[in-house]
Amino acid sequence: MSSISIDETTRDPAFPGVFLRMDSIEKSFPGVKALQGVSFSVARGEVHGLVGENGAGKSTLMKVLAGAYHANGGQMELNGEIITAPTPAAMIERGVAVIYQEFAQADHLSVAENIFMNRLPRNQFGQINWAVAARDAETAMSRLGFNIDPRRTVGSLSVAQRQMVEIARASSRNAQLIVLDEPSAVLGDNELEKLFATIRSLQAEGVAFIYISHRLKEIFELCQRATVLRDGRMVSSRPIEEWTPDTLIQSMVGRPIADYFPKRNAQPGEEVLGVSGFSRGKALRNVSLTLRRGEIVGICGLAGAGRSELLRAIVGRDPVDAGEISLHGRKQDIASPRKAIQLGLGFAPEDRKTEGLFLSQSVKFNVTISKLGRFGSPAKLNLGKERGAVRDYVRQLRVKTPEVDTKIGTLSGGNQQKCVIAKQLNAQCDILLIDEPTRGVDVGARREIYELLVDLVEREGLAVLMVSSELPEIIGMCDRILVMREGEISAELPRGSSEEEIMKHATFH
Amino acid sequence: MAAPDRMTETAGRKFFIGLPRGAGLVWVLIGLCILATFLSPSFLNPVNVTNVLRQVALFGIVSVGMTFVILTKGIDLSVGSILGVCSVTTALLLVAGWTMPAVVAAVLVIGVLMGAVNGLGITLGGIPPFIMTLGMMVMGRGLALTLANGQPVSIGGRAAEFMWLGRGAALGLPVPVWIFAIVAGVAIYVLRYTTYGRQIYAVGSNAEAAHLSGINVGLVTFSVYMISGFLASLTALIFVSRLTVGEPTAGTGIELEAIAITVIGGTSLFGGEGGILGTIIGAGILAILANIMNLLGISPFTQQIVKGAIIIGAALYEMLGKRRSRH
Amino acid sequence: MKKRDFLKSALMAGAAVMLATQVMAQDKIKIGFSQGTMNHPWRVAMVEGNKAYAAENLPDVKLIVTDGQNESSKQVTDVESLMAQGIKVLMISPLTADALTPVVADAMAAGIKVVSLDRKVNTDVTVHVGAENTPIGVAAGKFIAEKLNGTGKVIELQGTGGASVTTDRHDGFTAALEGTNVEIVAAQNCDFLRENAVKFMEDQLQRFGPGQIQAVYAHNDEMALGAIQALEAVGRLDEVIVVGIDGQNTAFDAIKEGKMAATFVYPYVAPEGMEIAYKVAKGEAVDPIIILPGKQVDASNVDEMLGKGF
Repeated sequence: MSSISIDETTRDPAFPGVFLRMDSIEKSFPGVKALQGVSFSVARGEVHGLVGENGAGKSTLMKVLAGAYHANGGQMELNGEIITAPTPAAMIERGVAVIYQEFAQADHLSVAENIFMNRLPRNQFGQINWAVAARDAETAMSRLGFNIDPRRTVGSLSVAQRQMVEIARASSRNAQLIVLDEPSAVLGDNELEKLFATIRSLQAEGVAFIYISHRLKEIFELCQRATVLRDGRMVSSRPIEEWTPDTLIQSMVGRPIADYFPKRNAQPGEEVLGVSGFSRGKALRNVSLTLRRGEIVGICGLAGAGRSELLRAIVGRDPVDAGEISLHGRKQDIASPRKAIQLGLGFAPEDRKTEGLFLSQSVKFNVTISKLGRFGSPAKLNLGKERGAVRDYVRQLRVKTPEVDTKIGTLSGGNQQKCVIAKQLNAQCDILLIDEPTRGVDVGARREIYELLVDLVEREGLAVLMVSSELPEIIGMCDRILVMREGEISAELPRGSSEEEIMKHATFH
Repeated sequence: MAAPDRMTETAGRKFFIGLPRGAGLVWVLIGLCILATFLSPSFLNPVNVTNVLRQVALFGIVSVGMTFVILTKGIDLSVGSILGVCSVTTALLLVAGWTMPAVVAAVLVIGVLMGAVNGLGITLGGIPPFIMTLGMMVMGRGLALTLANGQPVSIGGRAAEFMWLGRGAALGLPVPVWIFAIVAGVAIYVLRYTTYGRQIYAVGSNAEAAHLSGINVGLVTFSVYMISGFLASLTALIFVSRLTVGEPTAGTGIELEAIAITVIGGTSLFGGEGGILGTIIGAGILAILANIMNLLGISPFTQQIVKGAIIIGAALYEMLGKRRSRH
Repeated sequence: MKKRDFLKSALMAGAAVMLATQVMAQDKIKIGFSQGTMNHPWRVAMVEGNKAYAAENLPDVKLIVTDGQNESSKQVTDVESLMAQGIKVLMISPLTADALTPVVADAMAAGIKVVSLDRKVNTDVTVHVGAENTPIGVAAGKFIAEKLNGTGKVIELQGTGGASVTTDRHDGFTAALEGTNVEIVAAQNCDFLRENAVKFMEDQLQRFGPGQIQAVYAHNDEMALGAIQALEAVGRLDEVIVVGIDGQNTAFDAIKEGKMAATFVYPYVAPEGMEIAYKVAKGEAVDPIIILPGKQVDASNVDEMLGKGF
């Protein structure tokens, strides 16, 4: 466990001083030590990456920084001042702004109102001066390199734009330290570039950033230093030049990652799924593909390219205007998810929590719900048999859960995802369509899921069609890569293609 | 892992499945019984016990239907009015000379049909359950009053064998109690051991995920309203038998009682959580409470205040439980 | 655990108190009084009057009162509950005759003496006490026919549907109007409640324009006062005579002010109800039907009645 010393931060003249210093921060909850002796510092004008697996303590640390949690030990120093009574209001006043994944925005109010919430300019009678508000809003936004009509309601903006409004809000309050929690999770690549530009322009003015992300590529691109948390402790905090992706992951996970993606022995068999001519307006334009047994085929592209739409159309969730599907060589009409399940199509949707899981129900319920017929007649379920089968899956897939009766909402992302896959196996699928297989899954569990998928295609003879926004994942896992662009498949690339090549086909020429 | 893992919630322990709050409710019930015994010597009087059981049954049957509906994240405000329409129809048909089996069959069908109208409005029409059943509640009451011409319909001394339904007894327990026992038993079985029962929980827990899991969400939703209507009409038959009149105002307010019973019993208004065992206990709690207060001579107005406080208390308890488990 | 101990001692204390009071009450005569509803001052007067009489004069009686809250199924449950508490005599003012008949029959069969107050049931009881409603209806009909010189249109505001009171007051009234040219052009069950009467009258006054209605016959004063309210609102009170029944003080005042034409005192069976129930409990012989006298009150004799009602 290394800790940062003052010399290292003040070494570089570009960083004229430390803005935030967190020293031996401790935070406990009943029965759990969330943070133990965490120390790190952030200098002015620095973008500092904060990485760690889910549950490592990043959110807790940021909540302590924001004044939402009171640390049980250690101290915080802002601009040389030791903070004795941290409250959200006190921290905001001292220039700390946290932008969470779920924005705290008033959807029905305008951009200007959101930027200046509670601080709208007023005239001498106390009335709000809308003209000044609009002008100030425009100034705030252009400083950051973007502009949106300040009178538009926030609810009408895209997620990326809303994020910009949040940053404008922070900046207009003269935030000196802005924390971004997984900002890229909801952005496409174009938008990401814009975000980076905004961050850099603020950085030039001396604003510091803490950038939390699972996407290591961004950390390396944007940050000057990075701190790794693991199990509530700070593992290492170093300048970015002293990290490599491997050593970073290794610190996060605690063991050497020799091969991140499992070795693959692809032996594709006969065609199991054939899609031809799928079309629906602008979302899907004459999409055709084939999938063979024993294959993992990936679908990638920019947000909005039609990847998830394609999967949903295949499983009958959304209709198509034209096109055909054949399974095992026979033409099928898949009119509903029910039919898809009957025909052996398994589907793990993009948003696990809202589409894939019954969060308030048990693991057992979730795994068996799409095919209860295996456990007796519809009017007489054999609960013992069901329990046994689910236990088997839990064991087989190494799902970490105390019992099969545990509420699935309490499981970690990785374990939840394993349950989603177990659900498809229980439904006896032989073709698995999976949308973002490792979204919201921490690094250690990702490897397990990759191994699971490879195991399913190599040993159980399944076929996997996978949509992912993470190019390393697509490149590392798939036998063939289908790149989508604006509703079409713009290219089919072989295994081992480079990210540049993929992006080339994903964007406009 | 730094995440708190002692806070895992069990979605249903072995014996008390359907009581998400664990055995807490049962203790409340037992506690109430003990309290009642101390407060009034008449409480354990066999006649009084029978009365209480009868009250549990009368409200319990409708509450079972309400539980099914609430489990799917819906609500049925029209059960009282369905009860009214069916009460009047029962009396009118008996007066017209129909035989008892025919009357029973016809009235049950009417209950199912009215429930089906609710179901259609909600599934095909996309109308929120609150609004649809509210409309049916108002319409139904008007229909009952129209059919009865504003007056209670007396069946006089006709159909003596019909009296057995509401006023008869078997093996020492009133018939309505047996009917409730059967209804509750079937309901518990369905929710626990059938695919349909699982589907109900799935639809209430996450309708989109249920759809993707191959469940016909519309059909499941439609069906629970039919069940609710059916049980309301069954209760109407018992009511008429008990009073020898079909009153168009019968069942006024029973929907709120049924909702209170269901919610106190631990079924969540947000769907997907709860069950019949909780509803039975909820009915027991409210019935004993009313009985104690009657025996103590507490004014019915005060009783209403107490009942309202219990409902709010039960809801608070559930909210606090949820909040605790989130950290 | 602290909570459990506190609960235990509270239970113990409560039990001790209760046992003590029960022991003291052991030798009292239990009499149950099932009232149909308390949504009207007349019914409140009935309950309070009987309760007061018992409290003052009958120390050996434990009177248990229940309120059916205007629902017959609740009143049936109330009677069952009273029976379970071992009452000797049941005083009952039933909401409707039919709905309460079976349970009253049960009580009689179980050896409980039943005294019905004001409204009747369709089965034998030990004693029925009340005023006769049919003669009152007849008197009201005669009064209106006279005032209208034998010709005119009347609106009838009726009481709770299915109650013997309502039926009798209606039948008596219509009987008295036979042979005259006075006709009832509209009638509605307003449940003896003022607000129902107001609503109904407002609509009828739109339906029948000025000069088309000459009289209003309300089955009770509350509804009569509601009719007056509606008539005053459109300024048509002087062309319509309003007759009520009950003998409320507010009705007397209205007669004195010239707003109401007449009312018929209808005794609210207190303290007579309690007196007779007590006699029955003691096993004394009592007439099976006891009729309480009523009285017509109009402008000519209202002065002596002011404040003497309820």
